[in-house]
Amino acid sequence: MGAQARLLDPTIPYRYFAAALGFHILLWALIAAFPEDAAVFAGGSGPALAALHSLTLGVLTATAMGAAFQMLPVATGRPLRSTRAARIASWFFIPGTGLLIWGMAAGEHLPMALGGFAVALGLGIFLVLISEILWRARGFEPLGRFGLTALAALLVGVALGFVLIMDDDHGFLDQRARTAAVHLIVAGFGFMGLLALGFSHVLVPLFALAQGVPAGESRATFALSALGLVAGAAGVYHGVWFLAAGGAFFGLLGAALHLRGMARCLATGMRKNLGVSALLLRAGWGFLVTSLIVGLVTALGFFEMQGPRLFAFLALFGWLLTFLLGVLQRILPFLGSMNATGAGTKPPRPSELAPEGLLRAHALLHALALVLVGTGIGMEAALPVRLGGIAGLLGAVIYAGFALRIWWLIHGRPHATIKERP
Amino acid sequence: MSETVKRAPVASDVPVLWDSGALCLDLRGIDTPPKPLVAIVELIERADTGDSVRVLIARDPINLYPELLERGWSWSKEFAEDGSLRLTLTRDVPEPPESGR
Repeated sequence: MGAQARLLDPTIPYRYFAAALGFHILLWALIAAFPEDAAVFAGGSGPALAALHSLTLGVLTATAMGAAFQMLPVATGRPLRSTRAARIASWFFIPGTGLLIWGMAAGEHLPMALGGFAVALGLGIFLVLISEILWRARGFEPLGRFGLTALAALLVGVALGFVLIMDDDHGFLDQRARTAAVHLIVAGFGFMGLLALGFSHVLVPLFALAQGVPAGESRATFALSALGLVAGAAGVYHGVWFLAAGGAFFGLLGAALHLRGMARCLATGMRKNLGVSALLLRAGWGFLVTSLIVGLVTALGFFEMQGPRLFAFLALFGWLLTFLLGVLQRILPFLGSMNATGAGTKPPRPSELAPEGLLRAHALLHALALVLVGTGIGMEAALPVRLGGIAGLLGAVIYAGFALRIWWLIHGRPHATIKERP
Repeated sequence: MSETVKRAPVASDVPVLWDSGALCLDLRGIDTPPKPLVAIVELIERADTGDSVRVLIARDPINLYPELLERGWSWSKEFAEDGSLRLTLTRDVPEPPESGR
């Protein structure tokens, strides 16, 4: 395969990343504007459900799509079968997510159903394209194992999501709340979680310039995580709480093994200073463990309604969002430099594209937002949620500024402010 | 023709070779990311590596180039008929300090 052939047209990953940055701002704006909904959220349409899907679909899934389209062909050497299909997926997925979120916020069924259908189409194309690469690259064990299982979970998560949208209008589900909880577990821990674990096998050693995780350790992490996922989802759906608690326990064992491998990568890697992104990665991993402990304690009956709410918040906002922002913080300057490499001129160094002050300000506001919103959910109080939403919103705007600055330095005014190198 | 030299392996088990007056890595049989990248960066970071390194590699290591830029190295590529790539990495000459005016 040719030199630049595996480097995807940058407009493909960038459109997904740009959408994620926009939905990141929207989700915190919704929380800041409607804090009482988030503080006592127990399901059903409204601004809290819209904010939740602005995170899960708008930020997490959109970033996963952009990163998968960009990273998997580079990592595996197997090209994307059709870049046109990757573009078409974005035409369905991004506006579809917007429409779905609007329908959820307004409590209107038609935009919810149409948006959900467009999202499902976009994700279906993504699923076919990425599973085809992973299938051809089965030799890359961790990517194939975690990735293909994550895509199977995506299929189940999308199907359950669609059933919930239909039920919103027709009311045919006997166990709507449990179906919604399984949708959250399968989409959050199954799709996004397993994908995050699988991608970490490549990305974290790449960031730290370290040896990868040994195959046996990776297989054990996968087995424990998959077992935890199946037991957790089955336990929640059937109301067998010791099974759900067992799922959280196996998930904890899998997480502990995964984190041991990741900590070893960071400790033994040649690059010791990963800057603010390492803080976010580590904080995200801490929230992964905390969310599973809260899930375990909730399944054992120690929490009332705050338990499920805190579990979802810690897993989605604490673990997945924090981890993803840490990853994106390293990927965007690297990607900018890589894409500029193909232009025939000396590109800027990644470190020139990542101003430490801006990233520190974002990390501080993000941490403040998590603490305040988490406290508000725990106390069922709107004021801390509103303050947290405002902090998160400011952080999201700063993060978007960081990404726009990279785009501007690479594509907007090339060679104007970037120091020329010999 | 590359020959083995008495150097510690990089990325734990990749032998360092000698080819046409420069250290060389043959990474064509290594397909597990990020091992090829780690091997190259480890070699160029060694104090006794010199100013030029050759690399034989099965696929274009796109992730490597930002790392080379960070470390002040340039590169040139030469594709072989079998689709593999021969990279020549060269340490950039530092800019002379500007004379005071």
